[in-house]
Amino acid sequence: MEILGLLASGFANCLTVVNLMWLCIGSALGTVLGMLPGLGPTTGIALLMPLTFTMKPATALITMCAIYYGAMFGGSRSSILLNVPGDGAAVASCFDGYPMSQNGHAEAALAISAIASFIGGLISTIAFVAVAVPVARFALKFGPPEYFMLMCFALAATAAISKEAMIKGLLSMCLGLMIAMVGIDPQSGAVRFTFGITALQTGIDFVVVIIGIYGLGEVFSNMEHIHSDMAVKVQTKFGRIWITMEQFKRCWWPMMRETVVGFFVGVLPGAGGTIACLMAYNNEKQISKEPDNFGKGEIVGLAAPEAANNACSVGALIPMMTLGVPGSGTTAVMLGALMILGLQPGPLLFQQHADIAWAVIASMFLGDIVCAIINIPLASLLVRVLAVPTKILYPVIVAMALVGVYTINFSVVDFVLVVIFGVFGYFMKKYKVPTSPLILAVVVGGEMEQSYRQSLMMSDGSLSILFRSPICIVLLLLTVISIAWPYYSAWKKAKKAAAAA
Amino acid sequence: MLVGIFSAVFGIAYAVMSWNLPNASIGNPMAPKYFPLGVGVLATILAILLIMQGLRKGPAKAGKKVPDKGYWVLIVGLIVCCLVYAFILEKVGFIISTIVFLLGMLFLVNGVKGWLSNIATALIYSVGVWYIFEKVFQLSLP
Repeated sequence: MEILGLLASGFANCLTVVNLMWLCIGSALGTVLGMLPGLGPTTGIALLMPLTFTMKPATALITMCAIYYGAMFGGSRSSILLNVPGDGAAVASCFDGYPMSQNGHAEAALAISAIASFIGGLISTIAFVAVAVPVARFALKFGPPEYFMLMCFALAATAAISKEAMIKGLLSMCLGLMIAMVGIDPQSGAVRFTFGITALQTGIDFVVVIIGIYGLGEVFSNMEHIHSDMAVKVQTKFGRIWITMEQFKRCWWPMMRETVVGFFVGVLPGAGGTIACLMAYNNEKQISKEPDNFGKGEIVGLAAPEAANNACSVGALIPMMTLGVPGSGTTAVMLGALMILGLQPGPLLFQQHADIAWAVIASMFLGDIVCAIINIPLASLLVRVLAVPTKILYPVIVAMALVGVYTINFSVVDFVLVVIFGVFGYFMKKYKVPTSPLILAVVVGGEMEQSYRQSLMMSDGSLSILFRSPICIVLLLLTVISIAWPYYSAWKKAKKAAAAA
Repeated sequence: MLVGIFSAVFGIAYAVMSWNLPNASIGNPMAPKYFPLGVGVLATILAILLIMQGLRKGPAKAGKKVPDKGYWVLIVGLIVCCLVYAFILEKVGFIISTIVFLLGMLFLVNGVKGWLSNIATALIYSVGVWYIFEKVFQLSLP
């Protein structure tokens, strides 16, 4: 009951003209950016982040969340119409979404993906309300050693998604930590890794890293195919975007089931939207009575990953908001932006800034509705963006990125840095080095070192403090498991294959 | 493989640099060093593992999608544009430099044929952004 009261006051705080305006603008911009192939929610938030710097914290957070789920809604548009996923999480939507539009059912495909996204988002927001406060209360018990171990776990889990990419993931994490170390050490005042450049003394702004790697890096790697990708034609004329009752009934249970899956995958650090969607798709394919229809335009095969995708994105906000430790690249970017606004998400957010926290949660309900409106009645209008030639779009994105960077410090030194990180991001993409561990490490790196050193001060330099409390030990085990798991499952698969042969 | 060698060099350099950091004047003189040192060592170990993995598997197979010819001209061109922009922004002001910057990029990427849309995009974008930042956000651009 107490929570319902808080939620009601959250709605009251959230329903201001300014907030609602930004909620709509954020959702629309997010949807558009999410639609563009190659630009996912992370890039979207990174590019639009500077917009939020002049806002009040609650408005800023509402805007960023709106961009986030707007991008999640929008990601599937280009999967369905072009067979080009707008972001990694929309890959699973290509499997059945594109065949549907090929069969002339683009309207139904667009409608069901928005409906599934809406339902997934709505149900998981309700779950968020139920879970957030208990988790935040529990997290109040965390001291520096627990936080250090928690960050280790979040980083390890993000880096260790697959066995193949694990070493590269961990390397990318190390690089992120290195970037986070640049500048004056806040505890001792020692100047580190500035190479004598004064501008680096205050450290490298993570916004610069983020915009460089996700904004410029993505544009650079899209340059590789810009001439060959031109031939695609987008369908811009649609009939009524809606589905039949019969189709809806068929999708109802799959959407419900996969919402739950998506939510839990989202809460766990590391896994993220892509995995949630693929899991959802495979689950439904296995459960289905006609698995052969999957991949040929089966509406359930589109509804399931879409619901999971949005449930996952809401779930991913839980560790970020309640613990202050993000579990994915996108939430790391949001956390970074919040820190710039002087707001430290974490257990104290719900105590000291309860009004902000609940206003944001309330806005998540509203945002879900706004996104559904944008994506169903207005869908035919918005997909026209996909018809804008990418050759014009990408230069504009570069310009947006640079203007955004400029507004952080009003210094052109950052331009050079952002270009360097852009080149870095490009090569990371080219050599298949995952970028999210790097972003995560850049954002939490400073905090992580501080909590490590505070722990050591508490124990007079003995490392044993990191393994003393039960919470620490559980987190350590989780860290070890998340690194060992990919190896274990690969080994099990190899054994199975050997037994079969 | 390439990533491994690059990171190995980087990791070792970083660890050495951490070791040579100036000692802290207050508290434990080594305190600001431990963490970066640990990261550097970890990066080096990982890089060596990656190289070993690469040696065992042999050269990686090429990706499915072959990049367009001359793509790196575009990338280098964009980088040059950004650096030029950095150089001129505070000298000639936001609107002019942004128009020049966008025109440069658009002619590079979109080609000379689309000159009309190039010029239109550059003008609308530059003036539009300037207006939003100056009037709506009250931020002053050079």
